[in-house]
Amino acid sequence: MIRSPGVDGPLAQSPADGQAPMVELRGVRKSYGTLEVLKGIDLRVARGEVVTVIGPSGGGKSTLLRCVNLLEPVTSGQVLLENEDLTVPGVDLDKVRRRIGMVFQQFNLFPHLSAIDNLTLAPRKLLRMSRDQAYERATTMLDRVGLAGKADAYPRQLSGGQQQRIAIARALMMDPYVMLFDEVTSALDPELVSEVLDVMRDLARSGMTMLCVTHEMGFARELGDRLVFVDGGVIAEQGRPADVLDRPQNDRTRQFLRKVLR
Amino acid sequence: MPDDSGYHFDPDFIVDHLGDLGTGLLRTLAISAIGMAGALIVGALLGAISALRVPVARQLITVYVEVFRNTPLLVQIFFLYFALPETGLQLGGFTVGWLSLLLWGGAYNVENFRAGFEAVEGGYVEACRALGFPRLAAFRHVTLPIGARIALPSVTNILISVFKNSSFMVAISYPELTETAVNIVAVTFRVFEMFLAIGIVYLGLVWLMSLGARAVEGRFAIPGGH
Repeated sequence: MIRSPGVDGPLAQSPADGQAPMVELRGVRKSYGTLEVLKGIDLRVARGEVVTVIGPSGGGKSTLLRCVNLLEPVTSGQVLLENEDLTVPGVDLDKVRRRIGMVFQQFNLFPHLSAIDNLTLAPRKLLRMSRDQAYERATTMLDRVGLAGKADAYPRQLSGGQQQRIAIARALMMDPYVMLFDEVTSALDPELVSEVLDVMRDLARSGMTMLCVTHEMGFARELGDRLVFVDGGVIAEQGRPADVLDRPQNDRTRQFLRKVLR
Repeated sequence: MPDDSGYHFDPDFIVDHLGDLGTGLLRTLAISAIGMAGALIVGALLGAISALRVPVARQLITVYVEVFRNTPLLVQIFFLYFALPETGLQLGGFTVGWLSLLLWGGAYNVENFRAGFEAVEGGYVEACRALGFPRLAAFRHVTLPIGARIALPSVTNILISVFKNSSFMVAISYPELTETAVNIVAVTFRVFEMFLAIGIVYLGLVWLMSLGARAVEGRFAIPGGH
């Protein structure tokens, strides 16, 4: 899906010098048995930056994302959130994850809870937010993703696009420092993709730090500050979205883009 | 009724023995209620420990489940009632009644709950962990409510079987409903009236329990299906 062709995203500001990146991966490697999926990833995501990650399937881009909140423990290397190393022993990962929102390809809303209860579960149980306060905040959040009327609906009564918007709202309830998006439009019917991208666009413009694994080149071009091409477990190329998409320097990037942009 | 066999069906006979049968029924209900509640709690608790793969405990639970699922209930009852006293542990009929039912139903329900918990899609738990829930809390808020719903139909089946199997206590002469009927028959030979009467009682109660089970399933069904 190509949106607004020819319009470049916001100028790719280089991460403000001197300021610690929101998220940083240093030499991250990840193996499953003898299969090395990530072969040394170095990535810095600045506060408020929107980084999109593209690449062929099996190239390690989802694994990269899942290493940021250590849903996948890394084999070696460091993962830092606001300069705090999350890979040293003794870090309370459950606490850390409260500050890292994640949205999944398959939505993963809790099917036994209504939309609003999906939103309020974590704030109430983990942050000890009062019921009233949580519901008030959840109502605002549902409104923000355009689903104010669906508070009492259950996930399976909703379309994929609606479920995914609720999943985004659920993650936002925890006031995350950064949001991770793992191919969040890939499981959607084509006509439902735009409603989810609209929510992500609003989020990007509100200054949220975002790391998005995506197949939406239009989204990457329009809203990404930086585009990262991952293949074979390494970052093969990165740069301003327009530069990478229109003038790829790497052969593999070129091949990949030829296939997806055709 | 088969008059040519010389048997004369006498409904009044049942009425004459209502008192004894009522007492027997109360005993049936008592050992069944404890057995069913226990089988539910034991099943959910041990099923959870098993699904959470708690080392050692999980293996011990497997041994329990295998032993009680792969031996006849009758042998289990005999063991508790006749063999345990040899080790110095003397249990009365009532205790063996509910305990044997609890252990038997519990073993089956451990498997039912474990299978239910393990059938919960990994994505839900992952989403819960990603929000910051520790492993046990994610189990409590996601795996438990979803998995218990998956397990519910097979669990209620076992609970109803627990009730029906209370009649096995005939083997240790514990005067629950069936044993009471057997005792009356032994003296009076009114076979047909007695077994028809208790058959109807069992049928009616099981039917009620099935209705209740379906109502519970409906009450907890996840809106939107699947």
